[in-house]
Amino acid sequence: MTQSWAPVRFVRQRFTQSLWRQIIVLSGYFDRDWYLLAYPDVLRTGRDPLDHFLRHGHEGRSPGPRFDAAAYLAHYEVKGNPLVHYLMHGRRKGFEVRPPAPSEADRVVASGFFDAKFYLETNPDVRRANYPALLHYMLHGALEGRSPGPDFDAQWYLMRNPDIVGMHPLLHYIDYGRFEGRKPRRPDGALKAAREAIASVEDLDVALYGADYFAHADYLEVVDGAAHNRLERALTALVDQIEHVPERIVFMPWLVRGGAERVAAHAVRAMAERLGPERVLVILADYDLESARDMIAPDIPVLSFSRVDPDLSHDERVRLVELLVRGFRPEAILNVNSRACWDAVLKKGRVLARYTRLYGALFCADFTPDGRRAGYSDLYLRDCLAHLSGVYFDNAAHRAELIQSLGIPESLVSRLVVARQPAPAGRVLPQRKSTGRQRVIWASRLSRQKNIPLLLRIARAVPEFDFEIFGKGDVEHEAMVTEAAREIVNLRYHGAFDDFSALPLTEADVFLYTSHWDGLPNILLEAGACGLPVVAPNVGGISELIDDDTGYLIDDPDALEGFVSALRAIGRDPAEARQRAGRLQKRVADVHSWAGYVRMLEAEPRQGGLLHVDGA
Amino acid sequence: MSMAPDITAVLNAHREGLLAHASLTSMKRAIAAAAEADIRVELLCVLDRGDDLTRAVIKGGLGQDDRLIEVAYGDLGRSRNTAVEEARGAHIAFLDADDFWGTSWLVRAHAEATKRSDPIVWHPEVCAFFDGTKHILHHVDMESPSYRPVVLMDQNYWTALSFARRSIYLDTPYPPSDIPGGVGFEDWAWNKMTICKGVLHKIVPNTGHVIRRRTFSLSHVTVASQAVPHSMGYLRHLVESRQRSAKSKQR
Repeated sequence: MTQSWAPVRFVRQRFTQSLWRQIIVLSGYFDRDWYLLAYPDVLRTGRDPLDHFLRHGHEGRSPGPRFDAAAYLAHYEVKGNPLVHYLMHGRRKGFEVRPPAPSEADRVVASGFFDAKFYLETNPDVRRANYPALLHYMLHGALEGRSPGPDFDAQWYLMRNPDIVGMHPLLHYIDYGRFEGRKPRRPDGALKAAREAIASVEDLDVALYGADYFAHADYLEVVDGAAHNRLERALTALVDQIEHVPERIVFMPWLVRGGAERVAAHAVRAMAERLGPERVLVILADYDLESARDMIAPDIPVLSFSRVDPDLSHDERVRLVELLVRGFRPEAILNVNSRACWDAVLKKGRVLARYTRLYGALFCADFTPDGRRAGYSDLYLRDCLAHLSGVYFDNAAHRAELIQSLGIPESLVSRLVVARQPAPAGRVLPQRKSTGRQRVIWASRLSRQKNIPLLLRIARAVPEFDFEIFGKGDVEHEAMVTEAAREIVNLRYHGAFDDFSALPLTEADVFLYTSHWDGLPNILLEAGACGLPVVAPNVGGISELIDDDTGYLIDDPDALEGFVSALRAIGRDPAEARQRAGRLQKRVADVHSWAGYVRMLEAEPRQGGLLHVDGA
Repeated sequence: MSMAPDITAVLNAHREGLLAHASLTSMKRAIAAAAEADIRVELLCVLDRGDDLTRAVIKGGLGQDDRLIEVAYGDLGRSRNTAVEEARGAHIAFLDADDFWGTSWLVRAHAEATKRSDPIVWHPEVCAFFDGTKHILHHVDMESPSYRPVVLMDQNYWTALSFARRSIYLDTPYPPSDIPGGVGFEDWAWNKMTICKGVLHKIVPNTGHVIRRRTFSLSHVTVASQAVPHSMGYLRHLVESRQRSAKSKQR
């Protein structure tokens, strides 16, 4: 490589810069005034704005209101000046550009508080110097305490709010002050009306004539409904998105692929079929997770508290639940695992139940890492049951356990209903041709509850079987399975699965399930509906589906031997396994039908089910 | 009073004792100012589960044509409803027996109320709170840009000492409170109920009430019990009105 002589390199650079100046100017993306207002420090340097941009554009400074430099650099992983890159390469490749977030000057102008005519009239020094009004205000005036227009009194605002010393007063007001009830100028109208009213009755009460009410008038709190706190803004944004009055609201924490979400989706579908999709509203109250939107039909509205404001506190979410229920008075609400909704029922259930039938869904106990019970059943049912019209369980075992442990009296027992979840229409799998090796599918969430160490021990103990593992979960258990897949030759880890039907069912001989505790997992209904032999532990409500007639139920959920014996029995006698699977398929069809599920939601509890329509 | 009064000034009393004297005086000053403007006002006091002292103070302050009705509800909303039923005036103006009206209140409220024929509940521009606290509440006008209808779910925009045509109070009586059952704030609920029926809430410019806020009051009991206002499906009304308005624009 030849090195160019320094003076030649300098001339070449100057030529290139000059060329790029012309190209950028002609492109229309560079706006000199906008650039100076967005980056007032440039003016202080005395440099030409375009020169500055050519030198510093790679820092993410945008050239004008049509090109977001930082977003372009980040999205296309560009190094160097983003506009030069776009004009040279990006435009040809169809790269997208978008406007940058409003600059401080943009926000000042958009607020309506800046009035250039007023500013020049009240600041003759600026007018005499022929200084552009907005530029002067952004660069000097704001921090000098000059007022941007007649409706914002900067001196008064700074005096009244000593906590903001050193800050741009108008931007403080726009970003925070107005939401905190701070006033942009002395509330003269309110003070005048108050003075007149008090003057006319001041002599009647020592609390009025004993001290001057207006002694420190500037520090009197003047409150009004214009202050609009975070909760009220969120509520307004939510109501703005609601096009039809909902008669049923389903509260969920999030919408990701999971068993509880499947239960919610079934209930939502049943309500939409009964009332029309526009009369049902799904609210994701706790987390900003919505990866499984397809579980709910597209014509049913799904709103998320977090999408309206990700920074809402838990208490604000609880209050939003309460206000939406009181404000809409839907005939019924159903809570499927939303903590915000459980807390709203806990705090305000007595009054909410006056207006709306409240229902919850419960599945099984949950445990902390040190083995203490801390699920919604334990945390909320005792204190909420009096306000609930009904609680739906997907299995009888958990219901019976709670009736016994909480001592629920006969008068309330009828509110606890087992609503057998509907299984998808079964499909008969073609009989797999034997290849000499049996194939096991395990598909669930990778978490502590699912007893992953036992699963790995089973795979090691029966090397004659191949184990295909599907599912996502927490970091610890995903790492555990990933590591195991490297060590155990007959185990493969495939990661997430979108849907049960996406699993390689036609190549499977057995569906294996492991768990420390459970309700009645939906995935066993799906496996049963497909005619797969199932091996599962006897925990929670699983024995209501799987027994020695319909599959292989392992009494001790932690005992390796039980699982190993069952798998070997299937290996020895596949015909028997198929017969059991056939009986399981029939049980699923008989007990877990859609029609039966809908009938249950109509009729139970006896006082009025979730689908019951008042006056119908 | 031979001709029907233009306004019935209602004093709602309970056990305010000597404080009621000053409130009654403020009411009589406002009535006198109205008389100077040729506005006929009758004074009606409703004493709900009152004590002897309050009864004596009020009786001592009433004139020959003034009326005192005693009830035993223990519910301010029901007391107001009784006052509305008993009132003879075309308009009603409420005052609680420990608060004050600015003297110009009746004159200016009546002037605004008679300018418009649509159903409107009028509120003072400000309420100056005193005694246990000191702050000014600047009432919002529903026709001003700062009015946000949804916010009424979270906070009450207006105090109970309103002024309106009697027919508005007759059409929408105050709902009963049930503090042990978690339902209170009858004035907040009433504000929402009237809005659901298409009534506007507006302010009378340059007027004020002076409101006593002691550390113990019924409203403090209501707040402490974590009660909420009676629900009539206010958000349902907002969404349905929006739908109706969108449909009429389409036409």
